[in-house]
Amino acid sequence: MFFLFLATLPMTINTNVVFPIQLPRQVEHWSRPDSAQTITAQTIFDYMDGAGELYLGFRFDSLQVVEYTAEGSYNLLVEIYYMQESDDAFGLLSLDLDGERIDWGAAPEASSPSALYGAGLLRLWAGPVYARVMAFQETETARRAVLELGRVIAAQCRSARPPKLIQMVQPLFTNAPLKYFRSHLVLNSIFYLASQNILDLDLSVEGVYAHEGQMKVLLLHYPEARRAAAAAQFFLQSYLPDHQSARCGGFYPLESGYCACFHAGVYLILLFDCPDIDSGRQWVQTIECRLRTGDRL
Amino acid sequence: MNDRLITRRDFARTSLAAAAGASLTSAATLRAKPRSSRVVIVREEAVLDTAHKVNKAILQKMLDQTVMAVTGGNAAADGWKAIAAVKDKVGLVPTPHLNPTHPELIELVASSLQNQAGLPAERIVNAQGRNLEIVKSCTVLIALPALKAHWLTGIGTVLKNYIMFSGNPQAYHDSRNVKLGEIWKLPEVEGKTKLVLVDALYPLCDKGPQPDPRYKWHYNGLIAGTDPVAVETVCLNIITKKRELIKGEPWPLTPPPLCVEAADKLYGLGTSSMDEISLERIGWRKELLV
Repeated sequence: MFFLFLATLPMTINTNVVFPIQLPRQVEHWSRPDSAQTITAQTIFDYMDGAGELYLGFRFDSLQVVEYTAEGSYNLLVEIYYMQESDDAFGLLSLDLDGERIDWGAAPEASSPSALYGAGLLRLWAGPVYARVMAFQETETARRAVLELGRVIAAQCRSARPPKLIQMVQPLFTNAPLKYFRSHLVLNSIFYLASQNILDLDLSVEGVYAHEGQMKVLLLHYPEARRAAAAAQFFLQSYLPDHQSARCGGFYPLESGYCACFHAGVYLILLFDCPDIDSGRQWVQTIECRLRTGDRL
Repeated sequence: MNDRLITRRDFARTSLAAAAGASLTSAATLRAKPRSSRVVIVREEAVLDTAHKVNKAILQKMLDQTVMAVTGGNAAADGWKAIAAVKDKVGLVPTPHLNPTHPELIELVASSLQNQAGLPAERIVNAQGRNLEIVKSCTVLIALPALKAHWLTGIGTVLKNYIMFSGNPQAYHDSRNVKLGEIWKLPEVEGKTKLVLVDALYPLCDKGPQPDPRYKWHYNGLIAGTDPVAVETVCLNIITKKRELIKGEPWPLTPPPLCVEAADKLYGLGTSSMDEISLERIGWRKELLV
């Protein structure tokens, strides 16, 4: 490749999560400045306005930004998001799985690094790192440079598996990619549920969104069974106010199919737009079975 | 407006504004004066090259056409004079970063105000940001947002363009975007916006505000009017149609852009009904989308 050399960028990332990624001084004909910009949770809104909520919706640690420049060419932007756990970096990539899958042959199937490329933008999950490497104008040279920067980032991160919750239920949803989230803002960006946080989501709760045909499934994992139970009650009161006796395990006909909420230990399984009760029950039983066999129940 | 719970069930049952708690009575009260609902789209295929570079001469021509069409003037200079008089202080309010307003457009607006309306340079300021004192000092505002979808508000173009004036932008994210219209009614802001000019040269139809080139495309247009809600409504239609084209099926914005209909029905800022919008299309017609 076209690196002159690798050097650690001077920066002050306050994290024990991962060592600072080393980026090349030059890739193709682009070169980077000596210093990187470091963004924290306190400064992320200054950097990207409301987009910062997306990253704070996961367990965000810090962000390293480097812009490569070259005379006569548009810049390359490298954003390396250091998340507290690999699950969070996975979640960011899972929100949009469209794109050309890039395989560096470094990890087994369904493990990190996992990268998707499209129109000049590479999105990458590599252990606790989520990265965006973007060419402001896509050319063959820019594509090579973007992919090479991605490869360099991925090579410095440990391999990781998807979140355990995803691993449990992924085999059930072979036709639909699963999305992993922790915040109600992020949930609303993939499946608009409610203006308020009626499922008591926060960074301590894991969520998986899937759909099967017209039916949408939310699987939520709370830190305590008591909290899951309380969240279920609040959801039923808030979402089904016209069904006064709504309870966990019941199926309620709404504007577009049935809605149901099942509570199982630290888990909630919610179905929306379910076409019929029998298939809905079958789905819930299958999901519960997967959680049981995975020793999650 | 209170923070009433809105759920996805509300959208299956009723309109966006009704979901947000609008009453038709209050909407009628707020519509105290007739609404201007003329929106102009001017497009030129050659305004951007394949490297997304702006041809300033073509953009100037587009800008002149836009101002004439919006104001009904026979010459661009007449149009600019209708927007701002020599004694006015004009605040330009562009999108500062993350799919920003093209700097060429901001420069051309400023130079047109000087050269065609006769304003001295020192009476044209950048009013974007949290400093309401600057906004207060302006007698005219020109909204210059760039067209984009936004993952927290559905659409992040006209109505959201003044979000920093609130001093608390996070208070308007997610479903709370329904309240964006109230910022336009702040005493420092209300009634000052004489032109809404949307940079739709290279818009973004998903994953905004962070740039994602997969969802950016050369629309090569300016979209303008004096009614911010009508302009936003046209923008929303364009974004929605583009998303359908990409996916080949309906691909609704989420969270839903409650702010557009609410700006009409709750805050009386203009019309969100395409039936009430007189749309003038000038120039390039390919994939006009509206």
